[in-house]
Amino acid sequence: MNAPLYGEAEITLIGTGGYGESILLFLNNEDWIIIDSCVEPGNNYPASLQYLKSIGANLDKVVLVICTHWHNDHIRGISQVIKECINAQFCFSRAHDREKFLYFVSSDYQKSNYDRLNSSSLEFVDSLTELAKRSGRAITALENKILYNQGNCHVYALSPSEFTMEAFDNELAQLIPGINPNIKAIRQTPNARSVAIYVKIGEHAALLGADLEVSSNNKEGWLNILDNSLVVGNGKKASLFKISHHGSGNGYHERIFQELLHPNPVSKLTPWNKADGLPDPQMLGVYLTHTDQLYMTAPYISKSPKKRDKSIEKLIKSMNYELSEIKYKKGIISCRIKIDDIGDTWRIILRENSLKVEHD
Amino acid sequence: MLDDRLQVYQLSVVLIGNFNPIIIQPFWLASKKLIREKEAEKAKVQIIHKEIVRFELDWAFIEVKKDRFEIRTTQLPYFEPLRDLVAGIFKLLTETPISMMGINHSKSFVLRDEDHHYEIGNKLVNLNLWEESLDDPRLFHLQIIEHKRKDQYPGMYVVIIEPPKQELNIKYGVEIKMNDHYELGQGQTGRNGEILDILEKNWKYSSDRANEIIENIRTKLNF
Amino acid sequence: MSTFFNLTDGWSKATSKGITEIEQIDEFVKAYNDEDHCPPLTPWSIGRDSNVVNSDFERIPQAILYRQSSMYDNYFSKTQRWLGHVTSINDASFSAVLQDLTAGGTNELAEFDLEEVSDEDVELLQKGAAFYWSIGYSHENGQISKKSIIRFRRIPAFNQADYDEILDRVSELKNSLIWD
Repeated sequence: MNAPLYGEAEITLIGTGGYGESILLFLNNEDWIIIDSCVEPGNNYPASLQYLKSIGANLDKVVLVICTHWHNDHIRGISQVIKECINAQFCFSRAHDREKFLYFVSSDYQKSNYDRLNSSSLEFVDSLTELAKRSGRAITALENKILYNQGNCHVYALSPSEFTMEAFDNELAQLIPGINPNIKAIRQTPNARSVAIYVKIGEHAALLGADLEVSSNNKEGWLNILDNSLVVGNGKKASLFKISHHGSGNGYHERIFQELLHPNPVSKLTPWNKADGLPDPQMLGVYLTHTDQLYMTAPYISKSPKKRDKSIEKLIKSMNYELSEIKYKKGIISCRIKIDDIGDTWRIILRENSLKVEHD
Repeated sequence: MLDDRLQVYQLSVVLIGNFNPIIIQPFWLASKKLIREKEAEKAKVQIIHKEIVRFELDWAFIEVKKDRFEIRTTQLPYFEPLRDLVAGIFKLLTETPISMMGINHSKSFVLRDEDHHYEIGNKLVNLNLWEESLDDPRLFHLQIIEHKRKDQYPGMYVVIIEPPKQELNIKYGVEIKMNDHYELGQGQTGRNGEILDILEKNWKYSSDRANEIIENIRTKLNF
Repeated sequence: MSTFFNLTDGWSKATSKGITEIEQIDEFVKAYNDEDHCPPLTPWSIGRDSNVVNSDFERIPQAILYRQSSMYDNYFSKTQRWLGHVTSINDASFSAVLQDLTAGGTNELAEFDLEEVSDEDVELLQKGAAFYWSIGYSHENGQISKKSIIRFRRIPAFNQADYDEILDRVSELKNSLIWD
């Protein structure tokens, strides 16, 4: 695949199954923005950089890296991205109390000595350390904030809300005294702190839902965006939607389609093959009532054991253990559009395991 | 990687420095919650003395002398707990100077028969060179050293190939050992030095490197 | 100096000095009983752990149990190892995500009976806790059996140096980055 043509913008979604997702934006004819990071298990090289190299893009043109939230499936490899993209600024949501926030991540980092593969704080601190080497800019993501503004392309954060971040401050105050090196810190509400993003590309727009969920409180999550956002609404609807939280029921609200999206929007999602698996097939049916342009980076994968040495498979079975593999299934969905052509529609390029979801 | 020829995989960590042996004894480890209390109670103590401490847990053998610390196990389930135990001990003994560390991998393999055994020795060293002076030359012990490591640390790799330990009762076999050796420099300690860092970052590398070396030579020797 | 396996591997082999290790230990013990001959510990070789309690040492006398021992009486063959993290704890079981330490590659999900957790590890079983799980063939004094071993990770609590490092990192990041 080639790089986008002059005058085109691109929004590419990379999914891996149970190992995370990453989004790449190409804006204003020269700038790349990378949102989140994922790696192949065992390889540990960021899929986003692999993609950029495959289309011959210049990593020096990556101007911004956004971490929507610190779940392993959104952060793995992000420090490598920061390291290789030497001109990138780094944007993430954080508690207001910078010192307390840094103390928490630094403590979590301290205990992660023997658990590098499992610590999102380690990736996060490594990213900040890389950024610090070049005195880079750490941008706080917060609702209604503009993160990128070049030519007629603009990127806004729609979340987290002020309310959510105050809750994060309180949560940190409770977590810090209980830091135990043997236990991975369990933060309660990372999805609520997800950075949902609105991208304005000339006359076109896209809505990228991260893992944001619908809360019963309209001061946070999707309801806060729907009721209180200063960026979206008032007819500024998007024609492309990255469905939030792998198409889960709690990431869905019909008002998102009614108020924030054009009819029949290009909609794409990454499946997640952990626990019960996402998306629920029933939810795919719900999304298909809103669009016939629904894409997934990989088909839904049913549970099955990992293939390994036969004698070990036999041993596991004889001891009555039931294991299910979190499968790695990578897919790339690239969407391109002419920035200044108001009548243009998204061209979809499907690679690897990605597919269009059809009505049964 | 699982294979039928592999009989025993032994792992050890050796530290060279200045130790106070008597501290490192089973009940101290248990009091610091580095091992279970029950494991301390059941430990088979050979000696606890100012000069030398030597005991066995169910899963590891530990020997501490004033200039040398060694822990080893032949029980694969405890490879990572062994690493955590070393790290835990020297995280607590913050002022202990450590200058060198070896992560040692040793694998004992079973061979088909005597011919196979001889053939491997002959491939490793051309035994024909000796036929005029020795009636039945055999390779007993081979030691190969690579003085420059492939990573950023000072140190070396040492590979030894020799017959397996007698206790294993392997009639025809071979033991391949890899010493992943790190020179930490004078005055390094567990806390401020590189040891925890190396254990953390190079643990997997060390076993991957040992396996790479062992598997490469096995492929070349066809066993 | 070598960091290889102890070359005098076992009790019966002669050391380079021409005496057996048992004789060496006897020498040490003799020296211990005679304070005048016991070489003093150099001050810098003493671990400065303020929590070391002498009573710990008194619990085991200066025991000398000569015993023929071999690591090879007890070993594992064909073993699969994982690093697990507890994701949830239920009434009689706990769930975990597992990283494959043997073959690498993809992760797995599994559920374990609480009964499989050793009594002394129960206090370590919490959501987020790390543990090692292995299954394999154990060879114990010639007897081969299938075994499953769960062992929770034991890392010492933070000490002052850890807290110092944490605070240094906080200050470094706070000052080196441009915060927006």
